[in-house]
Amino acid sequence: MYMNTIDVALTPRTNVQPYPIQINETTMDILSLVFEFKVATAWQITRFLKQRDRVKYFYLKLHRMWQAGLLESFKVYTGVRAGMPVYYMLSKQGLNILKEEGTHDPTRLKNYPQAKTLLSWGLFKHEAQVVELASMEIKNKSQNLSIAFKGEMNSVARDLRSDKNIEVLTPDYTAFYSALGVQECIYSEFERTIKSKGAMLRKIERYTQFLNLEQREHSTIRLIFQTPNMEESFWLNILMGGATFLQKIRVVSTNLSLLETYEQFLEPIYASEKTIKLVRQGRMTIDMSQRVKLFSFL
Amino acid sequence: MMNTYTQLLEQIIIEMKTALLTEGSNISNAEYSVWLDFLNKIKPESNLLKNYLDAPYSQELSPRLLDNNFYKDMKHYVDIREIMRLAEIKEYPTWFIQPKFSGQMITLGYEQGEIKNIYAASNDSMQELAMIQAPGVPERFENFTGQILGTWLNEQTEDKLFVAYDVHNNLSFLQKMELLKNAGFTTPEFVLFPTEKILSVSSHKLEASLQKYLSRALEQGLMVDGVVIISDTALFSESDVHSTRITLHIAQSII
Repeated sequence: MYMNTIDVALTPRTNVQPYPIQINETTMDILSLVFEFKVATAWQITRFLKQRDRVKYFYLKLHRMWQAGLLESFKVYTGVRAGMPVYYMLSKQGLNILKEEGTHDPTRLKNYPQAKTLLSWGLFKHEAQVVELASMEIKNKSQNLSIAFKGEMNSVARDLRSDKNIEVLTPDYTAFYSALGVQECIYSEFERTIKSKGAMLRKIERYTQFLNLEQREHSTIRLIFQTPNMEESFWLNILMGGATFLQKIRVVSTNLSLLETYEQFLEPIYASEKTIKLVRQGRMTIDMSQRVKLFSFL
Repeated sequence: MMNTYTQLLEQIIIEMKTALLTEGSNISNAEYSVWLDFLNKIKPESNLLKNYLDAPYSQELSPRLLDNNFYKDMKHYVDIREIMRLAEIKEYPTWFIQPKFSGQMITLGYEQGEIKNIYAASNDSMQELAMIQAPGVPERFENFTGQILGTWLNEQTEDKLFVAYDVHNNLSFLQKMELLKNAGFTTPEFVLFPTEKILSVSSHKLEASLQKYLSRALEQGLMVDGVVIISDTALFSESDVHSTRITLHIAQSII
């Protein structure tokens, strides 16, 4: 999606009557969601809360929350002037309400990015794509399959053993699939840019070091790459580098070209160590034609 | 409001269960299962389901339906995803699929190659049949002593025929089927469970292919209400369940 945050500014509340909003469960759910994913549009919030793209109530509720000063909003140019999406982020007042509620880590609340940081081109595009992916995935929630999320702000795990506040796990979001009495945890990393081989390996190795054996049994690291080439190059580096962590934790990958509809999250779109093949065609390449589902029970 | 309706549904199911255990009841097990399936959808945490899903057939279902002893000790599933998960845990084993027959179970007794008796399961008793009542049963089965289990094909018609689906011995499933065919028995079509595909095929598609398989059996005149999945190695360590076979119920309305 073409997006441009140059000249984007928060929507001013001039000539807007303050709205005496009721802080109910939905208000708190929305504030938590926007906090976890940093930014979100009305349709994304509706997907998280109702698994639908459009529920009038939520559009109105979000507008009222903005009127009441709990949220900030801004429009982003996506190629056409008509239908510019409105993104919401937390205002200071919204953050204070979450702080008073006491269920979120105060340090993470403090680290919630300021508007000027969030509106920087690189960060905004990443966050916008992450929340779009997660909001598509939640649409697969059904009576037979429970899906829950933690956004980046609540997915971060810190190393308490070393007595240092080091972030050891930094997935963009964590999905939890529950079915048949089992919960599977999917640490999802959206790889928008090419990272060095060393950086990728260190990132994954941190999971194997931090999670214990029992946690790893029901954990999957899911890497979502921007392009098929990035995905191929990841596996090539992994296989050529002889990464040993693949025996310790399940790593699967996919790319955006395979994630055009929400249903595809449950389809065989994932490559894993077991499905890929190293092929020599003049140079070494990866055959990724075989794809599998995230879990057997889907 | 939802809770009130759920409680009512649970009450109805309890009453159905009581009725099932009563002689002369007109409630069938299939009907009972449909209600439990619905309860599973709206209140999966219900205690009624806990027993239904966890227990083997024998503990939860009506004795009238347990006359088919062949299935009574098997673990019973209603959700194909559980079987897919089991296949993954067992690391993609070779499993076979046979229809699960809901018709009358017939037991043939052979002694040193000669047929000695034919029994038809009837309610909770066994009724001995005359040879003439059992078309498709070979009178001789060379060098064989033991029991053959089967059911009727086209039971209500003149084309009635015995279909054999198991032999009581320790042979592998394929060897059993070969043995029965060589002895002149008609055997039901069996297929391989696609264990190698469970990570690439959706549970809906797999269920649809099983429904198609059962539709063929129904078209042939067999009475079926699900499938039996057969493994040549033990699936469970518990001693109170059949260790190499499990059943998957597929509602008749779907088939």
